[in-house]
Amino acid sequence: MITRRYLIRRLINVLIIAYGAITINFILPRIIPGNPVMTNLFAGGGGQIGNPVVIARLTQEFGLNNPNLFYQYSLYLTQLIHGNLGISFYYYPQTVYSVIMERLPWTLLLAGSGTLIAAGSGILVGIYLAWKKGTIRDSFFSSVGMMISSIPYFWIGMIFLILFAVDITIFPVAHAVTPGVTYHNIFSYMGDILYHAFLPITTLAVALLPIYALQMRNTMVTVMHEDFMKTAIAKGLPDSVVKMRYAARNAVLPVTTHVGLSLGYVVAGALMIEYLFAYPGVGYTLFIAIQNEDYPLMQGIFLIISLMVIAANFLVDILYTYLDPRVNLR
Amino acid sequence: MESIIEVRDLVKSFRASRGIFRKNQYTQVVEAVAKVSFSIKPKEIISVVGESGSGKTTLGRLIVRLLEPNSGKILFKGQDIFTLKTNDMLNFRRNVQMILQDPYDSLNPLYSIETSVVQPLNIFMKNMSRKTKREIVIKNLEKVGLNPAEQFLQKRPGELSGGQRQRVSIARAMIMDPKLVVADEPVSMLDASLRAEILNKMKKLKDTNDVSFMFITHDIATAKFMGDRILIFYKGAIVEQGNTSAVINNPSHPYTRLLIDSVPPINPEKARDYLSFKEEAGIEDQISTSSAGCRFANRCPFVMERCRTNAPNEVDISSDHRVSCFLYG
Amino acid sequence: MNNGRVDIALQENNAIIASRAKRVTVALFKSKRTTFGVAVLAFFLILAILGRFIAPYNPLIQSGPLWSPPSESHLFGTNYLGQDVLSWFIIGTATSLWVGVSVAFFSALIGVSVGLTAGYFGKYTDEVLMRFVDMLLVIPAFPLLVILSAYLPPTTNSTILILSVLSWPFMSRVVRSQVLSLKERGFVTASKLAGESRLKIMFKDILPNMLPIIFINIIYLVIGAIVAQAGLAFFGLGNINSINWGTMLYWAQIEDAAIQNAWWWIIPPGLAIGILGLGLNMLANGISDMILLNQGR
Repeated sequence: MITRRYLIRRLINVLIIAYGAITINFILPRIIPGNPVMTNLFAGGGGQIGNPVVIARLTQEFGLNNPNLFYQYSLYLTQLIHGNLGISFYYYPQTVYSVIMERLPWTLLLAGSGTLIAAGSGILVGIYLAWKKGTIRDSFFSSVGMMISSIPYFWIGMIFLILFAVDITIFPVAHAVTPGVTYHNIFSYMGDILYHAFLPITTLAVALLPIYALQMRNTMVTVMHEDFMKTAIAKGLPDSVVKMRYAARNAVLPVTTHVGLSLGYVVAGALMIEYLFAYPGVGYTLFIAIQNEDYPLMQGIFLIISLMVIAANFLVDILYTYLDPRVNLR
Repeated sequence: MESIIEVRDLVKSFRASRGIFRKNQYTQVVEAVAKVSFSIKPKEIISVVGESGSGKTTLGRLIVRLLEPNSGKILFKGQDIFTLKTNDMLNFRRNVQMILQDPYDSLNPLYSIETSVVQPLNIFMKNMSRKTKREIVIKNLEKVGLNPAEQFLQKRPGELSGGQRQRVSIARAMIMDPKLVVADEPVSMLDASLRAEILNKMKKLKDTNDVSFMFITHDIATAKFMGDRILIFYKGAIVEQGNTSAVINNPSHPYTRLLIDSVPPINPEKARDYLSFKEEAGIEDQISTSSAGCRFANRCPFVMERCRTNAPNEVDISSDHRVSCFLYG
Repeated sequence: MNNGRVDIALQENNAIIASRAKRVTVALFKSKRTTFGVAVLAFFLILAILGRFIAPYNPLIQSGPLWSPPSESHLFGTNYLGQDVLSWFIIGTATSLWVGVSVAFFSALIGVSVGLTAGYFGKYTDEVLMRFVDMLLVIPAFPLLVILSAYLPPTTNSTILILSVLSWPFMSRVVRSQVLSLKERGFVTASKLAGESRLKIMFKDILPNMLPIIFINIIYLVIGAIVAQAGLAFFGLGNINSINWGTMLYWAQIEDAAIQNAWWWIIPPGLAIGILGLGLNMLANGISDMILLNQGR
């Protein structure tokens, strides 16, 4: 069983990492020569903030006219606790926080379903390949997997676009819902969402699948070398039982930790794919922010995404220790 | 004769849990070496006998200062080795060597035999010419029975058998003409057919090189074969020590008798009445947590009330034979 | 001891060394996977080095009609400016490989140093360094890369710097755990007993024994850096005017090549990254199998 002491230790650990991300977010714009955040802010956010009153308010809230970094840092932390990440230059007068929160659900939909589909089917493919280990089929699909896992995610999306949205127009090339349509009921709304999300989610799932499949395959191959496997076979158990209940079951748990560690890939993939499909999530917004030198928005996106990944990692970690009776809890 | 090494009240304990931030109720202290005293004389082979987990390897590692003790001293030429600094420490390394147990692990797989064996010369004889060093290496390889030595110089450990590797390790330990070599079960990982030859080589080296050996083993027959003196080790403490023939012919501590009885006799029919007692308690956990009383009390067939509360002192049986047991006073 | 014997010994030894080098080469090419990996690597290296002589056109001038599909004069077709895609691809190989190799070099340098320091000093140094490494491993790298690229001047060197600074943590973890396990090996103890200094043991006994594992991770770093650079370029970060596989895809996306159905412009860079990744992965796997075999004997 998980002791409370273990949980507290993990929690402290995760808080330290979160604090690190928050601090990096503070330091980055300030160690860059020329400090683009302030320069841009005082230039009226690249000319987008027309209101000197707003500039004066932001300057005061974040202590930007005081060169003492510790003073700025304490103000930064205070504002952060109140959810104040500043004002977006491009989406002025919206705050960074509200811009991100508006787009976050789309990213969560994309990343969440993409990960689940990829992990689920990746594990099944991995079991199949491990069981067929050494055959031509195994080496062929393993090679394809290695190849796909090195290809940039957005390239796979581009190919899908050509295949399914241009030549034969099955799926839309952009947006999360059809613009300017009023829905009769909730089902047609959800149907439209799924219709638009299908290609982005498929791209992400296809890009991530080989990572999980290869991980599962390699772990299961290691498990299959263990003595208890020989015993299980020698006992005369049916193949399907040996395969699923003995080999796969012991291999699947280490792979779940890998799901946690791979969240970085998921985020990178989701961001690029959103941009490619003009899908209105955080990734597309990040691209807009880069194009328009909207530094507060970029920083905000980095911070929110980091905190979410750190939290997700923590949850996967705890889940893993619940699932695996072998984990040593000290 | 003056001793080379004198061990006084040496104590070494380990903590059974890991991590530097955690010291809690689960931590168990294991006393691997508990207040051990003995000495080693020049040109002497002293055998240390004990079962696995008895702390005999820890003792060996303390004597060559691979480990630092919790308390106690080891005197080398009258100086405590645990206080030695840089140059004195180097001098100690030169004089006290060790042969490790696993020949498959004790040579760097990347380096040639010559590179491994010449290493001490590179450290201590910086001005010696390469040719002279090579000649010394060849001479030492031949001494341990690797003939012709030239063929081995550029070989990698991977190209040698376990027996050959262990010979290389011995040559390397002997190359600076040390005064003492600690041999930690040097033949336990080798085929039985090779053991006798390597053991004989070591005995011969004792005479030709004026070196003492501390021979660590779990096998009392090997200990008898090798040792001028024997030291019986049980759960971190010496229960009996003395001249080999005295200890073997007149085993006094119940544990020593148990050890000798468990050697398979050559003729079981005749040997039956020699089996003086059967062990009934069986082998319990091998962790020697510190507790009052004799460490063997739980397994001893002659256990008395006071054995469980007090630790026995060493008693002289004869001139060079001492035992720690209440049966003798 | 006479000199003749020693000389003969030297000659014999040279023969043994020569046969050993031959054996490693044979082992490398005996496995199909490593042969494939070496071949792929050699192919792209040749493209990178001789690219400017092989490329049929100057990639920056218009050499044919706009948006033309593959033809005899333009094997990979042309882009929206009528530039030759094959020439872009060949010239771009050099920059992409250069980014991969230099990032791998610098982050290996940082990663190995941090890992050795943590493993060598242990205790609190280790604890502090590894906490920091864990933090960098958990914080998602891509958004951080994006922000740093947005702040720094858009040059290829900035990209190399940013990727190097963020790619090393995994290497340092690998090196540290290797140090910890090698420290317990008998030959390290033997060197200690011989009176060798700790620093020399680290560099003569411990470091050389983990070179294959370091090499494998350098291979992963190379492919990771090439992919990451392509991702940054796709977002319009870094030097978008340099010619490389990433910027090819950036301009293809900006000019809506997918919507224009210009598959000949999109496929070469992505497929090249995939094949290079496959080859390098196979090389790495082959080497790690060879290590396992070596340990087995």
